[in-house]
Amino acid sequence: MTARRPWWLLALLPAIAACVVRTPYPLFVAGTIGIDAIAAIGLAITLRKAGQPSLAQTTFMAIGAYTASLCELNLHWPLLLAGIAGVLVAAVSAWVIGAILLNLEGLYFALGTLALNAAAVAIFKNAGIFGNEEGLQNLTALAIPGLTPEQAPAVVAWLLVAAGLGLAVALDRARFGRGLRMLRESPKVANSVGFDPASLKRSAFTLSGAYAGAAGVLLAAQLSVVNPSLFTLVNSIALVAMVITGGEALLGTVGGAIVIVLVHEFSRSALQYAPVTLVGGIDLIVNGVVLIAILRFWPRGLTSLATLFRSPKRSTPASGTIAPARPAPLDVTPGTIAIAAHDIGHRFGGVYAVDGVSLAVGAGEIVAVIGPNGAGKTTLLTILGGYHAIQRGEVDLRGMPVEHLPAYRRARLGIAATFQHMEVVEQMSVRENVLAAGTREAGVDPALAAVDLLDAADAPVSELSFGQQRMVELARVLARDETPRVLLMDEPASGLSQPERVALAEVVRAFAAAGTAVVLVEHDVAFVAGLVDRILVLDHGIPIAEGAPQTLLREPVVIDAYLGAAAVLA
Amino acid sequence: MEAFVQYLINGLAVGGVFALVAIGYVVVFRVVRIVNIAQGDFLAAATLVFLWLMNAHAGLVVAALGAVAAALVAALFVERIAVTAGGWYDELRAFLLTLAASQLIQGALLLCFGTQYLTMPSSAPPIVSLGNVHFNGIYLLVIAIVVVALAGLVLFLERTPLGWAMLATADDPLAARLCAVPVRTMGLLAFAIAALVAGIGGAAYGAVAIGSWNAGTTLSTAGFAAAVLGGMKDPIRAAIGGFTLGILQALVSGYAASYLQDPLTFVFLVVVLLAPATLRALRRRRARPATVAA
Repeated sequence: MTARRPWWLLALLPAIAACVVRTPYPLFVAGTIGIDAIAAIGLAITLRKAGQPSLAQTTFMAIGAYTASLCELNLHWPLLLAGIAGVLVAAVSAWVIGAILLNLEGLYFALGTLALNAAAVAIFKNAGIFGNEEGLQNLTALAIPGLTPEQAPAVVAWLLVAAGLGLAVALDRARFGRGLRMLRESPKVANSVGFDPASLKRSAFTLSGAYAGAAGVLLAAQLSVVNPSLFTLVNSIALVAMVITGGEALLGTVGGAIVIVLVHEFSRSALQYAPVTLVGGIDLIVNGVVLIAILRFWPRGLTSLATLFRSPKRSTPASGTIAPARPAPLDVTPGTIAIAAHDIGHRFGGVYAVDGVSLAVGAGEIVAVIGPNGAGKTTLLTILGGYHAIQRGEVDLRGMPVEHLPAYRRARLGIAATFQHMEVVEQMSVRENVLAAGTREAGVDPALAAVDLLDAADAPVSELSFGQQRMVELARVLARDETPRVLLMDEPASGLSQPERVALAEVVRAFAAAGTAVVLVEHDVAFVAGLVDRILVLDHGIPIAEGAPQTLLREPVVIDAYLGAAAVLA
Repeated sequence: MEAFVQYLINGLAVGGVFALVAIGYVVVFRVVRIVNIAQGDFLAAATLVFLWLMNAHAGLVVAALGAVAAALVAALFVERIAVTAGGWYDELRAFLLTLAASQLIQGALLLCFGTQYLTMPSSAPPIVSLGNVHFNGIYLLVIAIVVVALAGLVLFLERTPLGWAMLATADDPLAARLCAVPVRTMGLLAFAIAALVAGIGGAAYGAVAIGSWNAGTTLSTAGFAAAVLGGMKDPIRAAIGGFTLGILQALVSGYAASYLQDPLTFVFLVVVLLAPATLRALRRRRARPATVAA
């Protein structure tokens, strides 16, 4: 991720080589690798980047291949036009299937795609239009002037590998890729910065379907034949093995395709005179052995080799020059109600976690929600942010009802959040964690300067201390282009050192000064008393007192419920 | 009507086999939290060995024992690969490991038995007549065996100390370990039980269907769909799911075309997976105006 050199241009080398070589067999193998690499890059987008393990990648290859072949045979379309139709139909099919299957989590999705693959193979084998077991034959071979019929598929395949790799790498570095990675590691964070999870996953799946479609079209053009046996589960699993072998990096996926295809080809040529069943069995065993070996002994795959080529760490820019970020003032009269909750009720099973809580917070106001463990504080906050579906009550954001909007929509309307169980993406760098939706790159360094993390900007978050990781969450809110209207913070001070608490309080005050309404849940009463304008006390989900800190914390009912007999604050 | 009863009995027999696959999923998933996609391949291995022994005139008892042994070898192999050797993996990696193991089992079956389809040695099956409906008595036997195996498993889990130990491991491995339950052994035991039901199911499947090296994929998907109906943890509901899917498949192949079985499994799986959430969403949408009015 750190190096931004265009490694994907390496994929042009085989294309150039294929222009020179004239021996058919190496060209055929090169073409096969290229075709599989295209499908595998598509699969890597959905499996690695979006975390959706699809076993139906060959099904979308089949859809592309059959569509193009049928257009060619029945409508007499030229190869290029038929191929474009194939890619489009594959992408649209992936969008439709994705709309259904992406509602499933992880393994259920995998099994759903497995069943889809079996269903599709059965249909291709038996519905007459697809030519049954024999498939569609006598298709036009790919012809390019100046190239032999053997050279053309290999050259085109590797040109497309380069193009596909370039596109995938560019998307991975853009907002789309950051959103997918964030979603994979922590759906909550992705939501809180305004990414729409469903749309991201569906886009990734549609894109992978388009890649598969292109691979299928090329396969039909290379073989002049399409039949169901090209698109079975064994082939899908071979693609999964390529992605697993490649590891996280997309260039690694191409390496995975090279390794897997070569292993299959070598095992086949070693058994050239063996009966057909033996070859089929060996294919299966190769799949199994490679997958087990990589998953068990080399889970990072070929990507781990990248460290050999990585240049030594670049020095970070001098930190003194960057002014710490301050939230830009909002155009709002202090005290205007920013967020209002009315009669919120929420049950887990038979127990009310929150029952009849109402709360209105004005712009520039800081309100704390306190109460003993299990009082419903966190539940209230998650309902305001939209992380639990609402069961009873209303939530208004600046007078607009938002209780039925999903969390990412509320985030886009100006609700920012930090979480109780810290939500940072440990595998991503500090900078990537902060650089979220609705954030310009220029906003990152000042935000990091404000929480004293500038020196660690390019380190993975997993290397930071607990308190520093909390500060990453804070920087994420600070870096937003637009100052949030509402900031929800769940126990922001827990686990922080004293200097970190001071910095936290400063940031919270800066937000309030800019006009943000801050709602924070906190156990540390001393911290709260010195910071907030108003306190709401909950006990067993019911509001028992509300008021300014100095008077409220002397109320007997509060002391009894929360502070115990020996009041801490005298 | 005659045909319908025939299809129904076929469906119950095949559905009983699906139910046994589903129970294998449930037992393994509950105890070691792994979706074991090779479960159908245990059955395919058992079926092939059973039919091969039957065709070699080894006798029913030897063939059945051979089926259980084949499933047991496959199951212990998967347990070794996906569960114990590397400690506990995350669920996706464990799933992919069982997928890899499934490929290895299928490859081994293909090498041993080739692409031929095995069937029961031809002998006059006992014909049972119900009015003017006549059918193969073996189907009834298969249905009975499935019901007995299911009842036995439920009794084992709920009425014996060993069964309680397994359920305890399923609920909370750490707490079970603190109560001196050997958690690792419970995992092995779960796979052994999965192998036992696969052995029984394999013999049953061999008696009513065709054995082939790649039957495992179809069986795995169908059994998973059934297991999902039981929430991956209730063996009785999973069994009901298996019977339902079996009957639906028999009706579809009887009245439409037999190749629609796999597409039907896909539709069944999607419906079972998505129906609860969809119904809940619909109910909420319908309830919303009411709460506003109140």
